Amino acid sequence: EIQRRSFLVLLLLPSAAFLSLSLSLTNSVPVLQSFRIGTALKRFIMSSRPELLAPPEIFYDESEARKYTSSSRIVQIQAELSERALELLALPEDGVPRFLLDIGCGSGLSGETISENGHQWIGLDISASMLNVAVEREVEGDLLLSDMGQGLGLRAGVIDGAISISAVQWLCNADKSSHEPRLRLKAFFGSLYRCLSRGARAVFQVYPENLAQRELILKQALQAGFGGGLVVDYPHSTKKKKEFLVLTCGSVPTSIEDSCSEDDDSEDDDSEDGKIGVSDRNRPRKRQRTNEKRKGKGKGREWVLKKKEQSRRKGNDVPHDSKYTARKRKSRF
Amino acid sequence: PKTLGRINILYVFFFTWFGCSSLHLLDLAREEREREEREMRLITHNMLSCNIKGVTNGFPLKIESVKVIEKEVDFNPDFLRHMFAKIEWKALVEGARSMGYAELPEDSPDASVLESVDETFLRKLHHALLELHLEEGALVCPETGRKFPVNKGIPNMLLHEDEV
Repeated sequence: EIQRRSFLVLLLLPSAAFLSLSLSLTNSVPVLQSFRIGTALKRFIMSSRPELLAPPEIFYDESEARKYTSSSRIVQIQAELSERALELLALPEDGVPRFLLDIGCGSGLSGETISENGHQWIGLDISASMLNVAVEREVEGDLLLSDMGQGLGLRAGVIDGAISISAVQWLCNADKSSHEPRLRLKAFFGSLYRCLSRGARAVFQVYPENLAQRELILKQALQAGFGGGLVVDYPHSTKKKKEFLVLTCGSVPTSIEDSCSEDDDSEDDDSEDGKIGVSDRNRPRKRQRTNEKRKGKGKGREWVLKKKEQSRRKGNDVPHDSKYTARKRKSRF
Repeated sequence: PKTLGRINILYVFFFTWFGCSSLHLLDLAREEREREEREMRLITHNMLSCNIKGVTNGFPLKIESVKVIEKEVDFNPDFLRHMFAKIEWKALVEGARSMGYAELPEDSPDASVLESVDETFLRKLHHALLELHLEEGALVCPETGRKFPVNKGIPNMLLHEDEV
């Protein structure tokens, strides 16, 4: 009896090993990937800036690509950003589908928005795993595995517009010893300028780390011959703030204000005249004098209205002001 | 009891091995089915040129097709008319021929044929441009001969360090 039981146990071990081996070969069990605790810990520490962790083709490996695409929050944000970028692209509304470029297309989230708007597109990305996810999702655009810092390799004047969602900031980091961010940005913008047709625009949604990065990107873009500037959505909110670099190619003189929708709170630093005007958001504010009497009596109606206005500017849902706002309630409240 | 045990082991080993391999095969079959995907159409090939440093005549890339599939795409004549001016006709005809489609006329037709009521030319153009997909194969630079492999419809255009 004991012999038989021990035999059974001995049988179970190799069969379990066999199963796990075959499953890992097919890469269908993401559970096995989580054994890499080291990277997970690193990610926990520096989760807001992936470009500081690893080059994009290594950071976006298979498990990260799947996580990225299956997160509904990310899908929703990418869809919103792509819609806004398409809006800023200001394509003529004549119902003719255009041929666009999606730089850093990843798993095709932004590309799907382009297809929904009826245009054809080519997507570029440096991460093969992300592109594989895109293939699985059956995106409608053609995909290219290429490095945007090496130049785009497209013929002159063939692209009607280019968008890029959350990708260009990866160029500012040198991922290999042979990389020089300035030269890579130069190659990228130079080849982009060549392949865009006259009057076409390029809209990049970027997450620059600091002022220096913004300046670097803008300077290289202007040197390549682009005109345009930065459009900032929700500039007062740290969470919702999104920056779009809108570059124009050729001599179509439409101003950027025309393409803003009414409910968006956006400002732009225009650099059409060749100079860069970049202003830091954190301006030293004058110290507001505190009213001693005010502090004692509590916060009145004016203060409440001011706070509600601030919140509205940030983009939050705020009930409208009425005669009941900040009305004195009965003491039991 | 000993001999009985050994035969038991053999049976169970065989069973688990069989089970694992069938799971593996099923998985592979699923991957094969899913791989009937798109990408790398002639419209993109017509725009791509070789980006290697020093190459002056990197367009058009020669197509070596190992696997070509045809997928239906909605016919949109406005788009075709818009793209017609940008297409390099010779490269398109060559590329279509390498993918197995020889219906396109050799010389670039003039623009009037786009506006004609007869849609045959537009249909042929649509088929060649948007419906032929190169799944496996390679794109070859005409000047240096460097091959850019195409896997699952995605061409690998990454350049090595010395080519940038």
